[in-house]
Amino acid sequence: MVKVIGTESEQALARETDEDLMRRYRDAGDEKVYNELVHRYERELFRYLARYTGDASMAEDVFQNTFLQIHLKRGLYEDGRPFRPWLYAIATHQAVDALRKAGRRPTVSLDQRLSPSSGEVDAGSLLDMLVNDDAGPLAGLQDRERQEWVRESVEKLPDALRQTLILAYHQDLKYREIAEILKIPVGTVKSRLHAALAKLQQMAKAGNRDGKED
Amino acid sequence: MNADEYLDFALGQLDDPRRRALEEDARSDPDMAARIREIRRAVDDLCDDGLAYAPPPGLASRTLAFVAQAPANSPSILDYVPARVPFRWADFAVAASIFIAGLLTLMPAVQRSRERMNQAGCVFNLKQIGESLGQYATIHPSYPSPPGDRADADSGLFAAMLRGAGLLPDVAVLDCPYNGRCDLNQAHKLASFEQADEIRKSDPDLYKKMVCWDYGYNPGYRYASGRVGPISARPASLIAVVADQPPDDVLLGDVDHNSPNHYGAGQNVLYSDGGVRWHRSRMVAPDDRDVFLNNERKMEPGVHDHDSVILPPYAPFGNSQGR
Repeated sequence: MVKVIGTESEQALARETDEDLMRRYRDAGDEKVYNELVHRYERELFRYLARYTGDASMAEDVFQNTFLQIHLKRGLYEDGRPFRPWLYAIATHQAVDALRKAGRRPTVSLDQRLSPSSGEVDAGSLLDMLVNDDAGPLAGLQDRERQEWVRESVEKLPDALRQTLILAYHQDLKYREIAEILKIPVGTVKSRLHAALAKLQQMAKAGNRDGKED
Repeated sequence: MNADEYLDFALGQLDDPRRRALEEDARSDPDMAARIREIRRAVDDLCDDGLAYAPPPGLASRTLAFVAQAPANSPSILDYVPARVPFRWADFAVAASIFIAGLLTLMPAVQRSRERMNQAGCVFNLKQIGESLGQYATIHPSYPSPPGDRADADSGLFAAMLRGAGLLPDVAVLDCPYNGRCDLNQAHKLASFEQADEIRKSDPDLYKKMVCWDYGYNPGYRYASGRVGPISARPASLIAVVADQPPDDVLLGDVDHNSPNHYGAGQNVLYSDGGVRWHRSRMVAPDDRDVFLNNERKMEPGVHDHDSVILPPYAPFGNSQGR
C-alpha cells in the first residue's frame, strides 16, 4: 500500500479553522491553503464589499486587492488572532481607499468620530420607537417599495453608522468582531448600531408623515 | 429581560447559552415571543434592502490568478513591525529601569529640597522663640528663670514661663520640623510655670508628655558670687539662648556629636541678639568650645558669662549652691 505524503484532501482543509489555515499559509506559503481561504470567504466578503461600496465591479476589485494584501502581509498575521476580523479590517481599508479614489465617499475613515448628537440612543427608548411608533411607519408600503426606501435611507446614514449596520445586520458579525475590525470599543459598536436604527426609524416616520401630508 | 437584551436578541448578538435560554423562555411565554417577533419585524423592515449580492462567477479563480501575477514587492521595514506588540518582560524591565534611574536621579534633589525646607522651618521656630524671649526680657528683669530660685525646676519650663506671660501663643514652634519626633499634643495644655510644676508633682507621666520638645534652653551661668543666674538680655553680648536640643546622655560627652534634630549635621542656635546661626560643630565661640557642656565639661550652667550651655528640657536650671 502506497501512502501519499504531502497531499491533503479538500475535506481535510475544509475542516480546519481559518486561523489554522492562515498560520499554515504564513509559515509554509501553501497555495492550497490560500485557495481554501479565498473560496471560503468568496461569497461572504464579496457580499459585504458590494453592499458597502454599492458597486459590484468595485467590490470585485477590492476583493482581489484584499486577498493580495493577505498574501503580501501574511508575515504580520499573529498566532491566536481571529482571522475574520483581520480580513474584514483589511477589506474595509481597501474599500475606503477605493471609494476615496473614486471620489464617492470623501468622509470615509475608520477612525472617524461621530458628533454626540448621532450617538447614545437609549436601548429602552429605541425599543419603544421600533415597536410602538405608529405601528411601523413602513407597514403600508409594498415589499419592493420598502426595500427601495431602505436602500436610499441606509445610503443617507453617516458612514460610521452605515458601516456598523452592514457588519452587524447583513454580515451577522458579533459586536466584539466589529469592534476589532473598526478598532473601537464594543460599547461604541452597540451605540452606533442603536443610533443607526433610531435614525432609520426617524426617517421612516418622517417619510410616512410627509406621505400623509401629501 | 431588559430592552438591551431584546434588541441584542433580535439582532442575533447574544451568545449561544443566553440565546438558547431566552428561546426557551419565549416558548413558554407567548407575550415575550410576540414582542421578539415584533422587534425582529421592525428591524427587518428598517434594514432589509432585499439585495442578495452574489459574487460574479470565477471571482475566486480570478483573485488567485491576480495574486499569482502580483510582483513580489520587496518588503519595507514597516512590514516587520507587528500590528499589535505583544507584552514582553524585557520591555517592562527597560521601562522599570528607566523609571528607577529617573527616581534615583530625582531623589537626592527632592531630599535636599526637603532638608532646606525643614531647615528654614527650624530657623523660623527659633526666631519666633527669640521674639517671645525678647519681649519677655523687656517686661521682666531677665530671660526666664525659675521663680523663687527654684534651681531644681526643669530648664524646659522656660516655655511655660513664656506661656504664662502670654508670649508663646503657639507651642508648635517648639517642634523642630526636621526630625518629627516631638509630640506636642500635651504641650498645648501648658499654661504657666506654676501649673507645670504642680503637674510634675501630681502626675509625673503627664508632665513628661507635656514637657517634650526639640529645643534646649540656656539657664544662665554661675556668677562670681557662686550664685546661678540668667544670662544678660543685652543684644550686644551674643550669648546662645536657645538651640536644637543636645544629644542623648551617652553621646553628650562626645564633642563630635551634634544635636539629633538635624540627624547630627549640626544645630541652629538662637543668640541674644535675636539672630539664628547654623553651626556644624558644638563650638559656638572661641572661648566656648561646647554649646551643650560648660567649660568644666558638665551639663550644668556655664562657669562664666560667655560659657553658654544649652540644656535639654528635662535638665534642671542648675544647682543654687551659694545663693
